[in-house]
Amino acid sequence: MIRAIRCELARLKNPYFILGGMGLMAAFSLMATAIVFLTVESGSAGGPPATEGITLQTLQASDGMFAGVQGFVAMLGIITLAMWAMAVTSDYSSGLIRLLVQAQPNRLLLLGGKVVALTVFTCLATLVTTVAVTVVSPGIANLAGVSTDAWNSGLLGTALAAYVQLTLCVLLWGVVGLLVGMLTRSAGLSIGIGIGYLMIFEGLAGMLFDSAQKWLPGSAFSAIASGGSADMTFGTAVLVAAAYAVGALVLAAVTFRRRDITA
Amino acid sequence: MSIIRADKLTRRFGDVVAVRELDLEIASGGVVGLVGPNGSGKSTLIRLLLGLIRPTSGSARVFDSAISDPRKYAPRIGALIENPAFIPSLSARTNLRSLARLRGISNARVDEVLDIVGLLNRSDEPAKDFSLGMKQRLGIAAALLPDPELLILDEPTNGLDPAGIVEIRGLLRGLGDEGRTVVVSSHLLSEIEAACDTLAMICYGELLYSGPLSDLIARAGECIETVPEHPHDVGRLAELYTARGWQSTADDDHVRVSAPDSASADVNRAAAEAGITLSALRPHSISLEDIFLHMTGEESGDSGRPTVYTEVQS
Repeated sequence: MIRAIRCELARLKNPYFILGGMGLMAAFSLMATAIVFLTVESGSAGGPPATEGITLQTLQASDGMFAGVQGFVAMLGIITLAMWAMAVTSDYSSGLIRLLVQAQPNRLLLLGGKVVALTVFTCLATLVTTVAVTVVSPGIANLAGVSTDAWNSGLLGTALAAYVQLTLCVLLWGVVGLLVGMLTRSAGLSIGIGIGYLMIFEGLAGMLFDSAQKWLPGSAFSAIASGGSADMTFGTAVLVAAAYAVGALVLAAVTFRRRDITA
Repeated sequence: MSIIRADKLTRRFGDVVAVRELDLEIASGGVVGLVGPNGSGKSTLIRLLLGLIRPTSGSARVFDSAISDPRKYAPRIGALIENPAFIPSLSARTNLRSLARLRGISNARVDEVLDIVGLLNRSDEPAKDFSLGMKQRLGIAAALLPDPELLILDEPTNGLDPAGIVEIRGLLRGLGDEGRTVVVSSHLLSEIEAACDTLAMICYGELLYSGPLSDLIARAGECIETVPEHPHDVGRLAELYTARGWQSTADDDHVRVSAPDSASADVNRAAAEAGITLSALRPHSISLEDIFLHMTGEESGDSGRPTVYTEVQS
């Protein structure tokens, strides 16, 4: 397993992956933070805020600096889904999977190495994101005229909690990306399915069934990022999300183990 | 001792039978050519042996271990399957190091194989900047990483310039002479003829021949090409040779007589006794290409059913 992890980590040093993954996630988080902070006044003045439920009070609270990230966390999830899906599908499209499986015929070890390496990479990406938001958001808040007095109390703990919640949330999206990538073997299709699911299916399901928000994966993942939601406590969200993650990992493992390598 | 043994090995993809009840035995040591027309099942056979795909029926063993559990023999095999695959943005060295890590191989071995394939000086360049031939060399380097006892190479000289082809041929011969088994799948029959000791020929997923290359060529025989001074004598000449017990084939302006080089004088004398003057008489060795085209039914581009040699060697 250690060999498989080291092999995957070496491959993740790909500058395109680092810039496209870590860079995009950090840049999107800063953009989301700016949008939320700069539009919160219009929301309170009667215009539509960028994210429903985020008020001036939310932003001024001790964990307000992460409200933007938490409001748009599903999009960060999609970025992670895309990264994980691409890590799987590029093996097939490039033909690398032939070399990898031939070098390590125990496919479960290969998959395990990939999951661990991507988890490490994702943890680093969310760390970069958290640090970037922590450093930049006071300036954005100042620009938007949002008071940051409460932010200084327990900043480290707040940042750490936000980091853990964000990381857990996007990791779960990553596992979904792993599964979709494994099933479709197409990066484009995987990302399309991820966006389509989030934007269309889960929204429709939420409108049709009131209880859907209590068990759908997107809702559970987002509730984890926010430390719980009106529909789901943090603990419930973790349990629901863990069930989805285990299911996705098992399905991905079974698929990978049984599938012919014809790439 | 057999290093590869297949027993009624079959693989279907839907209605298509890629490998059909293939019985094959490849002995340890030397360079083995795996030839067959496009779609003949060569790549499928290689994938089956490497455990990348599973057989529909039948069985096979590599290093006396069933292909259903490739973990038992994978560390002893290096392979280049179809096109070499690498992460384009990473350097040649980093690409190989990531594979070396997966196999638990030292970085020193990475530099060794880069040196063997002549890429050591270019090893820090991204793989995407490599020419097709250099990528091919990198693919061969990846296959050599585990210092394999069995090396399986699919079209190893693809994209190489003539000097590169000679170099890689020498490398493969050297590995074969060391006692390793090198299985080379190639469309370049001249390469197979130059590099291989034994041959496995498959077509439509079936084995047409397996055994020493020299036996196949000897079995196909030699012939003598005779050209009469007057083209209208071609038919009469062919009949004459047939009457003398030689198998002969008349063409536009010449007759091919199935006879060894040593029969040249008799062939010439027979024509002279019949009053036919030959303007040319040349021994003609049958090449692997001739045999391949005949056996696979592609002689006239018809891709018809193949000719199976009755004495398939094991």
